[in-house]
Amino acid sequence: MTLTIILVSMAAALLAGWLARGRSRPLVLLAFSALAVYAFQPALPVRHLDFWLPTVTLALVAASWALTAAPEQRSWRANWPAAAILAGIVLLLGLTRFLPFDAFLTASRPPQTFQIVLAILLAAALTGAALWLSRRSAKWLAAAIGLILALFLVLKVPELSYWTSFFFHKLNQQYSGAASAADLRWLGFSYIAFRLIHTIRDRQSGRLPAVTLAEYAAYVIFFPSLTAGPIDRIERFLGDLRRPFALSAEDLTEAGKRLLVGLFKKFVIADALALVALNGTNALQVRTAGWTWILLYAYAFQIFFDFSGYTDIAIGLGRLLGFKLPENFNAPYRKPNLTQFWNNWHMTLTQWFRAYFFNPVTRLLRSTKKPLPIPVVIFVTQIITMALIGLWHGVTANFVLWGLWHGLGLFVHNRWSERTKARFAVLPPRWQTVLNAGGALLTFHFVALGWVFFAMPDLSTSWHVFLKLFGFA
Amino acid sequence: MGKGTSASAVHPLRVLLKGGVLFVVLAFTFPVWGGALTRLSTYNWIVGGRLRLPYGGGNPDAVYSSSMTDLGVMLRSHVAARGKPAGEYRVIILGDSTVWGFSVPLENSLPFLLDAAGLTACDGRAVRVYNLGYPNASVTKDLLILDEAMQYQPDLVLWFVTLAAMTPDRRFDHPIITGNLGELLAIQSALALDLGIPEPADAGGKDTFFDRRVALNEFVRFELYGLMWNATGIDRELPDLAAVQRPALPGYVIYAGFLPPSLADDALSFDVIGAGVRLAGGTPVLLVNEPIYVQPDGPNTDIRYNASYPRWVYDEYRAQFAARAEREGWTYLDLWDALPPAEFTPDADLHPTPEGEALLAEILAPYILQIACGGGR
Repeated sequence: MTLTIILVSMAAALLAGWLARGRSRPLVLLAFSALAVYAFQPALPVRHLDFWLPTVTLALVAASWALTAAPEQRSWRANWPAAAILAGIVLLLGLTRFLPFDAFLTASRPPQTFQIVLAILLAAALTGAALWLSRRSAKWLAAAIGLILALFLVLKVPELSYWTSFFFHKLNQQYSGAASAADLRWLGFSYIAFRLIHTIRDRQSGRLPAVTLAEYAAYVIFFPSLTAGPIDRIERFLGDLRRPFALSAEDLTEAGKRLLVGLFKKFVIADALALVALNGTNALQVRTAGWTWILLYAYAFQIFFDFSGYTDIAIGLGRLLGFKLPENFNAPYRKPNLTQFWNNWHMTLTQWFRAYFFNPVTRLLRSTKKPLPIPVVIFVTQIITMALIGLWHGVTANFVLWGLWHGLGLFVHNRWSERTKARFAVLPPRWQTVLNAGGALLTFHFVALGWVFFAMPDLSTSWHVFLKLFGFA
Repeated sequence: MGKGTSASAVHPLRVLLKGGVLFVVLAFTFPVWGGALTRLSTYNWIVGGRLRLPYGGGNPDAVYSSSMTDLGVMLRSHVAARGKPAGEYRVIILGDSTVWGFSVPLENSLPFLLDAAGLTACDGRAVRVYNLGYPNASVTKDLLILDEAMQYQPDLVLWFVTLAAMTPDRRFDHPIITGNLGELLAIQSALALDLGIPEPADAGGKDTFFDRRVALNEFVRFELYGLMWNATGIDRELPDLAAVQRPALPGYVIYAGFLPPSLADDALSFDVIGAGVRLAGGTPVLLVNEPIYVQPDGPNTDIRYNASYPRWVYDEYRAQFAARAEREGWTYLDLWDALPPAEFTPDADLHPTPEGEALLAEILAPYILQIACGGGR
């Protein structure tokens, strides 16, 4: 996100916070967030795709709500204002194609009006079908998760992205030779997918609270956390949403602090570090092992300040709207071991995976007729969980290796900790401090070396960097 | 938050007011402390200095360098800005892209080769050669660089000149010149000359934080590029010469508005060269007419040496240069045909190949030693 978009978001958050104080709070937040879905979407080379992807986002949200909504929340009377707002925003944005100047809320000039009307009708039909199906069988919830994962794969597997873009080029009668895997940048979809799966899984397990369409949609596409998280939980979000809100001095001060800190982290520290951080080009140019380490350190801090800066901005924007979004980072590089690192790095993501993958799989493996030994269960679940987190960043060998690197590291730490914690617990405090400092240094370097897979475009360049780091290249 | 809580002690309006006042004070006092900020340099201190002046051309993030006009920042980033050791005989080379090494790797550029030659002056001092060339050709731009470089105590100035650097259209048309007209006026004033310098457009003084924000951003980026320069040794993306075809010689003989058969005595910027020699004071200046590519055969070779220079104007220029050097007592070396045509790259009529650069270094080394041993000025 650019500085301009962030500054506009701050103004929008202040306005939305002022407007969204009474019973209309979910509707106002929904309207602002739905507009943001379009405004944040970058321009795409496939004609009108930068309009259709946000539209599909809204359709998915509505259909997902219809599938998961509790029966008492499904009434037309309770939900028509939200449906009207969603449809109205799509239609109004579509009508901006007739303005005499360039589009300002969409990345490019919207498609023809009849196509938009058709899309709204299709989305309404899809939502209606989801409402009808949800009454008949819970299997449709699993199908919805399957659909979200399939969309995710299309976006993250380069070959699938390419062929999808190729298909869209053909469909639009555009030159298909220009199709590229990078054409399908669906802003915010990763985080939207996490929230959708969270609500569907909670519906399956009966934990999902009853929510209206306005509340559900405001949660899924909440604009402060649309592009970079954090991944909030709906029951926590509803607590803030349903609470009467008036911006207080404390809110304003806290929001201002987080926004300033976030802007400084992102646009001063991270952007400066980006100039000297390890990347696929300079990895092949750097001359000595010492400089390679410096570039790697720069990358490690750049990615931290960049991501945690965005989180601070999201939390600050949320605070202007009366939401205390969950923290995502808590000094992760100062933690004495890898387990604690992952408890403090992108915390909402790891909590999501823990809740919806690690814990269920662990329970499954432990509840078989012939339970596997604990170390084997830990090994399998940690390796697969971290590999999945890697795959979430992109379906490439490098991201898988990055995940495996951490999965293996977590397993080794788990076993080491099991064997040594009793002995270390009786050491004097001074020794504990020394051990913690040494552990933090070791953990940081383990994480930094893992970033090599993350930062490099392919395995051979990653291998080259490892050789260089240790003086073999 | 209700009354009486600790958070109610924070007054956002007061915070905003205090922040605003602090910002306004810092912004308006910027002219006082802003200059000092850009005089801080990490080069030659935290990271090593550059071997040639920063020149962008392409994506700055890929070549770890950027074009700028602040000569102080440029020179402070150069390895020449290090303190001069007692046993060093310091040679600086001024000139255009030929000296800078536009078409060859840095280690094949003329100043690098001369420095690597390990020459020793008669008094035992090690001859160290510094590349202060900068694209594109303009003797006025060279004069400004010389003025800034004199503080770094050169013992000899090698000044590479070609006809293109001395025409009226190049006299004031270069980003370094337009960005430093005030400095040029100061040189004119100090030497009591009239170089016909235009008045700076922003003579009113644009030195506030807002006026300088882009320059400050460039400065910070440039300092960070210093790390990457040290890490990679890269400051330039080499042109892909394999894809370059030498252009055919045009059939006209007009050059920079000059028409044959002769060139007026004051048509070229010899006065700027004279100013440079005076500026150097007691430091010897060796003026070198750069080698040019001479096309051996083909259409229009009877009227032109190459795509850049018609024969008549280049011959006139050489004759005037020799005569002016004789009259003014300048040390002048005409190397116009010192390199065979095969030793020029096809992207320009002035850029030697790596072999051509090596040959040129061999030719120049004795002259440098001769001057270093007190054999001429």
